[in-house]
Amino acid sequence: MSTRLEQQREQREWLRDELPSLVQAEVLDRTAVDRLRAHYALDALPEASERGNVRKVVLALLGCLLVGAGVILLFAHNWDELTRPMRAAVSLGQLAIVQGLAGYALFRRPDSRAFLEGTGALLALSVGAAIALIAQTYNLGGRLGDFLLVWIALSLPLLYVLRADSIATLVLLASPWLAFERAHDFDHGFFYLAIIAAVVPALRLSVRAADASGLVLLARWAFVITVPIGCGGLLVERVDGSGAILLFYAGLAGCFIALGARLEHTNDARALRRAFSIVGSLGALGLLLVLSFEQAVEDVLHSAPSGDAWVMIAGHALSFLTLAGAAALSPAVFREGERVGLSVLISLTLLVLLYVGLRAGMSTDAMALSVSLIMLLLGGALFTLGIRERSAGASNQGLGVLAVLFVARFFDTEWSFVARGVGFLLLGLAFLAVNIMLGRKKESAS
Amino acid sequence: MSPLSKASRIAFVVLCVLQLGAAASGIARYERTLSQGDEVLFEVAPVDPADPFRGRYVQLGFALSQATHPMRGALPTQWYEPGYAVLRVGPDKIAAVEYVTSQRPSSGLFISVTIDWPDENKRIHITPPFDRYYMEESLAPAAERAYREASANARVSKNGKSYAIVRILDGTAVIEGVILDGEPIEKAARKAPAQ
Repeated sequence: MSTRLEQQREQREWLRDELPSLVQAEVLDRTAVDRLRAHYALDALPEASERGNVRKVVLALLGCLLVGAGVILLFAHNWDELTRPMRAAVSLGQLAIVQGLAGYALFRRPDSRAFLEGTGALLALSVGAAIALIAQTYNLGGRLGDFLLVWIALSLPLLYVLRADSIATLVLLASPWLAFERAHDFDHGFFYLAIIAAVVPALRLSVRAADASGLVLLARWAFVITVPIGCGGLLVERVDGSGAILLFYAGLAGCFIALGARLEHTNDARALRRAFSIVGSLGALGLLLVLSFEQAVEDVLHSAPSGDAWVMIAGHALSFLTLAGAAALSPAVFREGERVGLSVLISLTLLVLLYVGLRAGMSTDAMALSVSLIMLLLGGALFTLGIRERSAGASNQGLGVLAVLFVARFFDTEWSFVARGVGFLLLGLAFLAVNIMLGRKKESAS
Repeated sequence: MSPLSKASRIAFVVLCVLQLGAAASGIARYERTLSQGDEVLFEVAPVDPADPFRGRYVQLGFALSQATHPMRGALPTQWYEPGYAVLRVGPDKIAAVEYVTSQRPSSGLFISVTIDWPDENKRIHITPPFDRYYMEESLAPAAERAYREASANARVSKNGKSYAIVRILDGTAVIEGVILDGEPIEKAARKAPAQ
């Protein structure tokens, strides 16, 4: 399937490159060209200068970063020999030199992606190095969170000024610390959200994964991995307990699944292109799994209020924002006919409704049992979809959900050894039977 | 040149000026503090961690961090609020905290601190802005050993000879050096026996 996607992209690129000559030869007029461009979404393809340069960009990036790291280490070794004014001069000097390099890239070589990416990343590191070197020169204390905040504030604009997508990944990887480290500052770590909002445009959420550059895909992976961690750090211990956290993660998983349906192809074999789908599905499964345990439901129900009033309001607002986002993005799942994503979204919706029921007086064991039933239905639905659409991926996903459910119940309820043993045997046989069946269907089809 | 690329170039120049300006203004402030600031002494107790981002340093603990101090004005409403510690300096130049306040003093010797929390007697714990002394990477562990040896022989007290030399100007404090048992920490570290 990924080969077919590659072929489609190559064909579209060929068409895009041919169009100017066809206009010149008067084979097509402007109106026809515009219609073709719109029909095949040719404008969403990366520019010709960007395509095929991924290796060049990555090598340039790595080269610049390694050179920068090497220079820093060499300075560190000789640092003690330098006087204070010399250290200050080195701190400023290395920053000015790298700024000069980045300026050269922007003013003289604006079409060279590799140069812009490499110097952009190096400049971001140089800013951090300058701050660290000054702190070391004057024996300044301070916390990692303050250092990161200043570093990110001075480096983040490079993302837009130099169009260096690598900076988005650097910022995303560094910023979750802010949420944890600034827990007791006046903003309680909510600056982290402003940083995330500033990075979102770099994810190019209007570009499908098949057309996005490697650095944009990497930034998307950094986003889906770090945002749940960073936001979790914001919400835990600051907000009225686990209810808001449950809603937040349900909404976030829903947003990721909906974005995955819109931007990614479920049958794309390359995991690099399915960040939203993979993490969204895993997140939903994790949430369902945790809440299938009665103890976890008890914790959600009986969590105690904590933190300032505005912090709790902000935390709850964040949770409702993600739910609203998932609701707003979910039409894409229907539009794309993304049945796997739809099944997971429905499960999350039922989970949220169960939470409402819990607050309205439902017992905790009823909720836990209901979540187990949701998982059972989800697993069955995915399995059936897989059989119907002859997709081993979907059917194995379904069986995987069922396997996780059964393992969870293994540790949770008092089932007899015989019942548990039979259950696992049947599940294992089902996995084997499905794969054999699908294999035979493929053989008979070919 | 398209308007977008012209805007990018202008924004880049502005950003570079901001980056250099932030670094240079920090350097200027600390240099001014070291050249014009009042010199005071704070008792220290070094411990040795390693900060992967900023090199090897000796973690400094201060007597003023371990004690509690009277608060003037309203008590803090949450942890880790910024504040100021007004200092009293003795004839031996050793500084002690006279009181802690949330309002910036208009005169006198004071440093910016983080107000940690009040105890049951409404006395305040504080964290000073200086808590480390950077050293050449091989010397920091030896410096810690040197301190342990010094403190094993003589209890560090108000009559002890281990302290940080700090320059203070307009609330900004910069460590100038650390003295262990009467001699600079670098010298004490080089004399310390090998591990």
